[in-house]
Amino acid sequence: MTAELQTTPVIELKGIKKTFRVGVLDLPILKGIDLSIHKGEMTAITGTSGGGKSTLMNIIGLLDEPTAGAYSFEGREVINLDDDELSSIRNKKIGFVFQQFNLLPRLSAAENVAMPLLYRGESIRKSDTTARTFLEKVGMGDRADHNPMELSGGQQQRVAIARALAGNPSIILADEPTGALDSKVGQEIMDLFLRLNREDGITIVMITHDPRIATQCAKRCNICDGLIKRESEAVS
Amino acid sequence: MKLYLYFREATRSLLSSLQRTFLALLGISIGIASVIAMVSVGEIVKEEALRQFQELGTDFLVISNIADETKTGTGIIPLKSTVSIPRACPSLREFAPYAVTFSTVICSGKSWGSSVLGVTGNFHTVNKLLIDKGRPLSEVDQEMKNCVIGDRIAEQMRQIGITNMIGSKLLIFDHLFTIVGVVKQASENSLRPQEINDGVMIPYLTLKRITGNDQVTGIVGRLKKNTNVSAAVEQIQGIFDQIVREKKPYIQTASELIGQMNKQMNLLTMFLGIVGCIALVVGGVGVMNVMLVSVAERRREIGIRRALGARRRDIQGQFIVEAFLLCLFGGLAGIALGISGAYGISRFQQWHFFISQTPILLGFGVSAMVGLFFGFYPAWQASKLRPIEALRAN
Repeated sequence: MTAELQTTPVIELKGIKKTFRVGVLDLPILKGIDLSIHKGEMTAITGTSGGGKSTLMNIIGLLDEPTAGAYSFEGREVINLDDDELSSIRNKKIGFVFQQFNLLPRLSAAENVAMPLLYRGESIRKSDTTARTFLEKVGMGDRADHNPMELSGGQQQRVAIARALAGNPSIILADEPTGALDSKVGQEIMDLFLRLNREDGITIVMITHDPRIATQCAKRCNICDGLIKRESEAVS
Repeated sequence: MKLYLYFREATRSLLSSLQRTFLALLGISIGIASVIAMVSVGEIVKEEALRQFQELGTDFLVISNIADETKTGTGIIPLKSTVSIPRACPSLREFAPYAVTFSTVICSGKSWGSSVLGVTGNFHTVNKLLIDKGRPLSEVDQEMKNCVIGDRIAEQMRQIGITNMIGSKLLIFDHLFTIVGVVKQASENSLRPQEINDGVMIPYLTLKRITGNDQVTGIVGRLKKNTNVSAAVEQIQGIFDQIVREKKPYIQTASELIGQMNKQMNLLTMFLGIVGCIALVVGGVGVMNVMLVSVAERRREIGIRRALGARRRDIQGQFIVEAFLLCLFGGLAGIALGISGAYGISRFQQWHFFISQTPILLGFGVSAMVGLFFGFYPAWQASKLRPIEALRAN
């Protein structure tokens, strides 16, 4: 199976390095990552813990800046953008799914899902309608007015996925999305991701240390010691 | 600006941690309450102080320091010299010279030392004296042995069992006087001759005939409406310069005194306001403290919001609105608290309670300012958190 030939990848990293300073020591975490993610791909980033997976994810998600390297997002150089512009890209182009779900506890499921739209400037009414549509999509339509505390882990992660989808982003970044769930519920979440990728063509990058999850992704990158050791395209 | 969003998030956050919110509200309320109570009390005290003069009338004027202090009871200008004053000073509407001496007053075998005022028939109207019983002295009483007693003599007579004072006899200067009236206690600290409350008033001419003393101690008067007060004072000064050269009379007018008191009392109010403001600043620091704790506790929330695309100013806006709301509601509670405080104090001190809009506007304005000022720093801190660090926080 050949990768679709896209003129511009959604994400293109070239020589990304990240060094943390611990006391007087410079600790290199990423030592030169080259990675392209194209539209419609579903990519798993695997690797040992401490190997730099999360750091890479944070850089891709514009939550952290690389020490060196080039990053273009949909063809746009994003390394030197100011904070407002980065916020705007996160808001409109990136949907985050976290291991700990990270729903805002005081807000209902629907309000959580609507949050990125509100930061975009949409009205409460309009964003609520959109939020409920997406909750429906992830099978949480009947829980729209529940607080996160009233939902199970799997349900919370579904709400979080709806939140990531609601803004119609170019890419979903999921950091160990099944890590806090038992394997059955984890697989349900994975099935949801696979369905979204297959049916709606949503581009997904997922960090996981779980090989059973990783093997279900068409594209896999293994990060070891700050470098991409193996990049494989599985035929599923 | 997504103000509606900031307000919604801020309200939720305040409601979700009621204890913290309550403590912050308490601090700011006490601050605002102290400003309002202090400023109100200041204004009430000012009104209270001015009331005594205003009751006397702003046109009141008193000329003193014309007596010869070396010889008690003797003035240096005779009554007849004063007759020319009203003519020479057209701005004087009324005019009542009086003489003060001292005598033993004997009643039913009891004797007291007392001031004795020789007064003209218009003395009580010029001084706006209120009659408790009987009638005031009038021109008809001149050269008669009638007297009007002040509050202190009345009290002393009551103590020896005389309740029906009108018609009772008093022995003054070894002459028997009939009491025709009792004067209600006149408020102290006013410009009126102080001897009114303490002494006995007898007709001027009676005093002159008995003691042979024709010397004026002081003059009370009233100015015409819309008179230039300082010009009138200068004019009177000029007249006295002609009558008596060796002594400068001391002329006090109610309007000048009220002006001075106003200034002093405004200083007092300002001082009290500053004291209140210190409490307010402490309250404001409390709000800042609570907000800083809140920011520290909610780092993860801030991180999530940043990941969802909140800009720095969105985070800042939310926290400022939170502090602003705290101070606004704290301000409301404080205004209520401050007004009740001022009411309590004036009840306790038996002052006339009133509340002007100044302290209320001040309270609202200041609490909003405090909210914005002390909310700004924590909000700025919150907005400065790097998304990645905020997200990592627990």
